[in-house]
Amino acid sequence: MFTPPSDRIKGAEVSFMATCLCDAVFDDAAKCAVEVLRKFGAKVDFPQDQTCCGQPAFNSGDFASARRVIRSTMRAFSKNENPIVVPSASCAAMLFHSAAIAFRNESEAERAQVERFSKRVWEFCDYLVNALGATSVGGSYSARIAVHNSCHGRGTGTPDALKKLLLSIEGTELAEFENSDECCGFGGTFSVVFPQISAELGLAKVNAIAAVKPDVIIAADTSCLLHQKGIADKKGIHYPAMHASQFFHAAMRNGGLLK
Amino acid sequence: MSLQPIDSFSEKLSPSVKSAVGGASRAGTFAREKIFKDAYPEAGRVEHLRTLANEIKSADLYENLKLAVSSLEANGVKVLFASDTEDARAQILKIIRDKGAKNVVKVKSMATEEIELNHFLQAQNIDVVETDLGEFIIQLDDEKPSHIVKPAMHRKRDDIARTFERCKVASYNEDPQGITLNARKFLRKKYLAADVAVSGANFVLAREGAIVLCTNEGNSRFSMAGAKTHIALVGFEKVIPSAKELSVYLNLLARSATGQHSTIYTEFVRGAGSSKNSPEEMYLIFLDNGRSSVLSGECAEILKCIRCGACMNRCPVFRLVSGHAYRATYPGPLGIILSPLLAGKDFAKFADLPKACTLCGACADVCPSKIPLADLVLKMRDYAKRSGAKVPNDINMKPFAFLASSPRLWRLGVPLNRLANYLPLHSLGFGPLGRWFKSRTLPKFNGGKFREWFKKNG
Amino acid sequence: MDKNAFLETVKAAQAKAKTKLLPAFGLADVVSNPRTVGTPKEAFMRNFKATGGKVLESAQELAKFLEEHGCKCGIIDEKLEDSFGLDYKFKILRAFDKSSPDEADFALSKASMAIAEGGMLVLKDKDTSDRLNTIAPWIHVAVLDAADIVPTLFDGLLQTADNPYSIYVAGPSKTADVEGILIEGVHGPGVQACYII
Repeated sequence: MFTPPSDRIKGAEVSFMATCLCDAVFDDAAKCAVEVLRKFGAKVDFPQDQTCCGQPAFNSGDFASARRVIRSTMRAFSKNENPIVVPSASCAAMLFHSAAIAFRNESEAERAQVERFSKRVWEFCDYLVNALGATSVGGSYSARIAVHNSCHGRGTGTPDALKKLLLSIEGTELAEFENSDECCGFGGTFSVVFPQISAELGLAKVNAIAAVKPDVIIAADTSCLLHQKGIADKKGIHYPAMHASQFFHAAMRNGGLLK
Repeated sequence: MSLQPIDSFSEKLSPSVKSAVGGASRAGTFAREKIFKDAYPEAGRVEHLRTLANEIKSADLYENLKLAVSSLEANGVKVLFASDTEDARAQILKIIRDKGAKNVVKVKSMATEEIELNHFLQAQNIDVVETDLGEFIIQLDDEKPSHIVKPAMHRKRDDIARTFERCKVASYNEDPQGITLNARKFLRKKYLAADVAVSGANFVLAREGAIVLCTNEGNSRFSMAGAKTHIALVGFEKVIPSAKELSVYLNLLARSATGQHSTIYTEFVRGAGSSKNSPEEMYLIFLDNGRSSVLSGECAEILKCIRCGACMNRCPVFRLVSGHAYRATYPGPLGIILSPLLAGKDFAKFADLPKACTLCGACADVCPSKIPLADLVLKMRDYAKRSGAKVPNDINMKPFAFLASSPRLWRLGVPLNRLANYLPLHSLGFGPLGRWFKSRTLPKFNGGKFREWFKKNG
Repeated sequence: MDKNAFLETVKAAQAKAKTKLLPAFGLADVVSNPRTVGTPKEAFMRNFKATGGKVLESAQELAKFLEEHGCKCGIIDEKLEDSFGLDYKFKILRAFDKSSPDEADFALSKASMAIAEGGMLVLKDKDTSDRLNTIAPWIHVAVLDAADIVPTLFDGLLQTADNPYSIYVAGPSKTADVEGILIEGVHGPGVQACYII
């Protein structure tokens, strides 16, 4: 459903989009992503005028506000034409798939600008494997892993890239759990506009994952984990979750590849 | 804490109905996946069929509709046109009255649900009985269907048996086979006494001038063998060019809907029958009822829907709320797009429907017509916002947009969220944060920490 | 609403949409390979049996089948000239009597053709004297000439619109409306057989 453009820009000089969520809460996931990218040979800059991909406004149906935010974001990344790497499948999908919908009635020039921009955007794991050609993270981390594939990764290279990189780490084992292709119920603003259903879906997801007793739960999106861990903590369920970048970073530290 | 209507419905829904709906939906999803693998084990086959289904319905509908009308008329079908609910009801009633008919049997049709035909006819003292088992059951309880393919999926055997007993269909028997045989016995008399059979149509073949009906129970076949007059009410978007294109849809429909390779019965009706005990006259009423307005808008692709129900089977929200939560003829992913649009001037009454979606996109993955459902839901949210319709618990995004388009303010403001770590936010009982904290915790706020790190490690 | 006004409304509504040409496709795009393995007769029998259909290949088998189901009385549709020796074993009616609709335990009628890929019998009005024969009795036996089996649904569809009514029958009538439990025998036949000659 959220297929990226087939002709995205590749290259090792990238601009990093931290996401508003990492800017506000999950600083460690962003930091780990940058360090891992650099370890794979990417040169990473961070345009400081960046703010947010516009998803909260867009999903609420306030397309005017979404356009305002996306314009600001495009401006922030306009110093070069680098690939833009973002540690979030949902933010990436917003920019390479959904932004076009927000701008569908705007001028031809602006629609072309959005289209050009969309070809720069990569989710973090997808970028490592399919742009940089990474096949292995290296290092080690002995753990049974439950992988939560966020819904915005549907139809993208992210799920396969994430799996490939996880299995390349010595000591990892993937744990299967029930209904793994089903939504966890976060849905962005859905989580507070439909709190009842969101919580019920989230609890079902947390229970399905906790039932297989993983050592760690990993996702390419901090947003889903925010919701799942929030529910788990409230219920007193042990739920050691981390972003893929943090896991890769830890494995590389264990292998002496990073400090 | 006030909730969205659909959220509230889910909260109040009985656990047994929730589990019936969730279980049946899941089973439908699983059956669909299995049957497609069985039929088309080669990679990419199903996706290709779905692409064809999408592209065929992008063809010139007006030209096909024109051709359909002339082909149907050449076959002796009396073709009529209804602009809206009132028009459709009036025309159907007129035909029934002109024939002096008293007994109507109905083949399952969502178009007739749209116009609430049964209630209308019953108010005119015409006996109308639904013949599809699921529809028959809910008609006895004056309920609406909760799913477009499995109308009684929310019901259990014991409450069905009680209904049959109460309505004098049969004495109490909750065995599913017993229920089915009781319905068979009861309805046979109705078929043989029927004057008029009313149906919908799954497809209309423009070249052959035929309607296609896909059923499993034999009720459609029997309805038309009993009655002298057949009336079909069909949304005009059901027209496809010919039997050749039908091959694409017949390979997709039952597999998507029920996990069968095909429905047991596929009927091709081209007017009055030529056998004994077949209709002597056939009417086909093309229905607009808001469809032309949808066709002219940005969500026109929703008209490619072939009413398989796979989307709602797959939808995480539908599974937890059941079809009745949507307050409209069409529920689930199909309904949150189509129902507000068909409501026309009553759009605002259904403006909350497009929000009942996590945007997971799973529906679009199972749609046989490859309709980009999640994208249409977003367009509907845009439309709802611009129409000014009020939706409960809506969050004003303008302050956020202001902050997120002012980089310096953002850089200054985000680190301030660390102050919130000292506030007892979790005791907030209202607003978005209050609704978050009812079932979840939040981690510590670390606003701006990444930027600080990057400055030192650029 | 009148025809022209309706059609004009649709035309105007479509004006903004970008209509496309019909995509080109053929048999290879739609055929199910697993379902067409073998000769048409083999594929038909396999697929028809998979949904509960019964296949009979001789008059003796047919008679035995009906006896085993406890049949006493049956209808042979007028468009079938042969009675296949059944009049020696069962009370045979030549017409459906609406006043005693449950008198017949079974009915025989002609299958116009069959579709192997779908495991479907095709019953056309032009080969059926009374539709009630094919629907009302609990057991229906369609008499099919093996030469009339076409291999694929794609082929079959192109041969269907040659009379006012055709019905594809892919097995006995079914429902899963009660708790999703599959039940055979609803309004149509509970036993669907095919006698292949």
